[in-house]
This record gives sequence, C-alpha cells and structure tokens, in this order.
Amino acid sequence: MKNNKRKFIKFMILSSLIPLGSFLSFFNIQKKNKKKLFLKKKFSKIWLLDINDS
Amino acid sequence: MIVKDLLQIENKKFEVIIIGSGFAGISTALKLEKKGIETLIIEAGNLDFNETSNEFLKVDSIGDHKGDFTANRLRQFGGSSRIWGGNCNLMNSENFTNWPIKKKDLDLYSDEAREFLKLRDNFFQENVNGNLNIYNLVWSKLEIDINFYNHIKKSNLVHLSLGTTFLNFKNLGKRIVSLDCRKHNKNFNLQSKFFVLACGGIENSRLLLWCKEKNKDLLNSNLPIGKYYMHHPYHKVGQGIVNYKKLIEYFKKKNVVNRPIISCNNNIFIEANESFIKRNNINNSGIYVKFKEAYLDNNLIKQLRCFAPKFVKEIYDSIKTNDVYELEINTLQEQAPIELNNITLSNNTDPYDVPLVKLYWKKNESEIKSVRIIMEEIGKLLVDKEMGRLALEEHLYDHKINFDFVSGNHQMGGTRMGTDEKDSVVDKNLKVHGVENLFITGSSVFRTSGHCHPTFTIVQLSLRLADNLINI
Repeated sequence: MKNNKRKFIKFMILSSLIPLGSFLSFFNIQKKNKKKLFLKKKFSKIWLLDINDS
Repeated sequence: MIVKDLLQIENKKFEVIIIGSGFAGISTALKLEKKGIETLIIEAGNLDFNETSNEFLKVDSIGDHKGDFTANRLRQFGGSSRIWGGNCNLMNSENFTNWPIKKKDLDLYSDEAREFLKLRDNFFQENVNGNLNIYNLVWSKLEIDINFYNHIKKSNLVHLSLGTTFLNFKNLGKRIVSLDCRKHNKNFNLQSKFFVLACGGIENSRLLLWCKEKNKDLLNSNLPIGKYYMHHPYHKVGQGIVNYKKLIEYFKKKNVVNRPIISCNNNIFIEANESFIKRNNINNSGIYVKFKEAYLDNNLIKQLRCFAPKFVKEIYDSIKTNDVYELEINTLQEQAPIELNNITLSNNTDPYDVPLVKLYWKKNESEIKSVRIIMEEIGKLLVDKEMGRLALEEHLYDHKINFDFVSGNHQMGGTRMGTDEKDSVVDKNLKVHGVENLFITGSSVFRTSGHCHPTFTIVQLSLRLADNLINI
C-alpha cells in the first residue's frame, strides 16, 4: 500500500512536471533563436529593441 | 584667355558659348579645348565674391524652404563650386531607372571626372546584408579658382569674360543666332554655333523661363521648365549604441573592412540597395552614421538601463573597455520628383529688370516613410547580430511631416532630362527639346535626385555633353 502510494505521488509529480518542463524549454528556445524587433516609445524616441532586452 | 573688352570679340563667331563658370561650364569648356574647339565662357560674377551680386540671386520661397538662397548660389568665377565641401559619391544604377540614359553611359566618363575633380580615393559600394550597402564619400583636393583660372588665362582656345550677365537669346525660328549680354553697363551681342546654359540648379530654370517669355517662338510652350524641382533634405533621424568590436567583426565577415569604411570624421555611410528599394517601393536615403565614444553615464545608456537592462548588462564590460560607441545618425534624403515643386518667375526683378525666382517646395510624406523603413532595417540588423540598438526620431512616425532640416545646397531638377517634352526639357544629349542649338548642363537636368552629392554626376554629364558637341 505504502509502495503504491509512493508510486502514485511520483507519477503525479512526473506527469505534471514533464509537460511543463518541455513547455518552458520550448519557449526558451523560441526566445533564444527568434530575435523579434519591437518598437518602444521612450524619452521622445522610438527605440528599436529586441524582445529579450527588458 | 581672359577677355577684358567684349568689343574685341563681338564680331567673332565661337563654336560654343557657355553661360556660367561652375563645374558644369568649366568641365565642358576644358574637354572641348582638348579636342581643339574654341569656346567662350561668360560669367556674371567677377573673380571674387561681391555682395551686390546677391541682388540677382534672391528667391521668393513659398512652402517649406525658409533658407537663404544667396548663401549657396554664388555669382563669381567658379560659382558655388568655390564654397563646395569637396564631397563626391557615385549615383548607383537604381538612380537611373527613369532616365533616358543609364549609369553605363556616364561610367564612360568616370575616369575623366575623377581626374578633373582631383579625387583622393576610389569609390566603393559594398553589400552588407542583402538589403543595405556601405559606401564612401570621396574628397576632392581641387581648388577651382587657382587651378582653372590660371589654366584659362594661358589658354588660346578657352576665353573667359567675367562680369558679363546674360540677358537674352536672339533667334531665327528654332535656331539661336546670338546672345545679348551686359558688361560694364554696356550691352553686347555675341555669336556662336552652340549655346550651353550652365548656371546652376535654379538659375538654369530662371533664365530659360525668362527666354520663354521674351522669345515666344524659340521654346515650345508645353516644356515643363522649372517643374520637378528637388532638394536633398538633411536631418537628424536617430541615435544609437553600438558595440564597435562586434560591428567591425561583422564587416570583416562581409569583406567590407578592407575598404576605407570609416572616413570623413568617423562616419559610416549606409544606403538601401536596389532590390530593397523596389520591394518596399521607397526612395533611397544616404544614412550618415557618426561615432562618438560612449561612457556609463552616457545619456542613451542611462535610458537603456531603464527599459532594456538585459542589453546593457551584455554590453557593460565593453563599455568599460571603451568598445561601445554612441551613434549620431543623419540622413541626406532622395526626394521624389513632384511636378508641384517648381521654380517660376517672381514679380520682383533683379537690377537688370530680369524677374527673380519664386520657389515652391514642400516636404513629402513618402520621403519620411522611406527613411523610416531604411532605418528600421539598420536597427533590425543591429539587433539580429547583437551589435547594438537604435533610437529613431519621433518625426519619422509623424504624418504631419513636421521637422527641422537643412537643405538647399543641392538644387536639382527644373530642366529635367527625358524623351517626352511634356515631362522633360532636355533630351538624352542635353539639347533643349525643339531648339536646334541650345544645351543645358548641371544638376537642373537630373530626372531624379538620388541621395548622392551631385557634383560628380554633374561633371560626368558635362564631359558627355562636350563629346556630343564635338560629334554634331
């Protein structure tokens, strides 16, 4: 019973973490590979920035 | 030979009389001299500048140009070439899209033009990222007054009469027989086979408009004289921060670094290439990027620390090693030829009762759009290659086209070149449509302005004109 309980908790943790991890890593890759220029109006100027700058 | 008294030559028939002694007029005369052809240059001004000359050059300006047109149009030997900054660059093939001649037609005269202008370096244009070119400005070491005046003084074929103001042509139908001019308050009549108007971007239109009014049968009534007038508006378009080491490494990869890329006071010059211009349907712009060393308390870096902290962290070490530079960015813009921007005759007259110029010139939204798209492409390149960041001036995104600019030194159009006389004044050989022996040279014949300094093209066109005159 104790073993089953442990297995179940382990399964729950893993099943909830794995997709979240891959989800996060997917976005990290996107962030690194794809530089996206965006325009930001600051100090009476239009700054041409990368999405990762701030 | 310097002609002091016009009575000596009043009965002589010249091969070519050139009105105006700027780069256009002198380069035409010296090329004709090499081929053994006798010319007379008449110049309204004297050897040196005289303030009373300004009375002939006043402009009634309506529209956006509030500058002083007596500061950049000089009535003296050499004309405004005497206050020329000495910068030359080469119009690229895209500039000639709508011209009746192509770049290769002028390339034939590049070596001669280089020699005439005594240029220090070679021109280059190098592709950077498929959309942008880096190019250079080449400085001239020419001093027009010393070099050319002494040459003409000794010449048996080139005659120069200073203080001689053109008044009007005398014609028989569509052929000019002679011209009337005034020297020392006396009128003279001078004869020639060919006549060349080479008085500068505004004066060429003014004198031709005056001739049209005086000689009803000489010029065709539908010629668009004075129309499609263009400037090169020069204004600040942005600032930026760049990692200089990374920039140079990038240029090395692009094989640009072996060229004298940084010239004329630490400037880099960038333009859009032909395909980018066509794809985006824009005009070109010369982007002048000036470098200044940046420090941690630099205003731009302070601003970036607030809203782009990650970027500042990345360049922090490079700032300390003085590898980060602040950019100051200006543009010399191509202006599209617009019929409404035009030169007409004013109701006010000069001391010889010839009408002065009325100029209508306005900025255009398409020009701001063009420079914005080019600047965004440069900004994108800096971000993509982790080289830096740009900040654009707000007016590039403002539809009111309300911004300060410097302009008026490069005056172009007004007697533009073309095949159809409804939208052009001279043909591809610079002959005025419908007149047998009148030619025009100078920036007034430019069909489009490009963004380049016009002097080199003016000399190329004038040398080509001389060749055509020899072959007629």
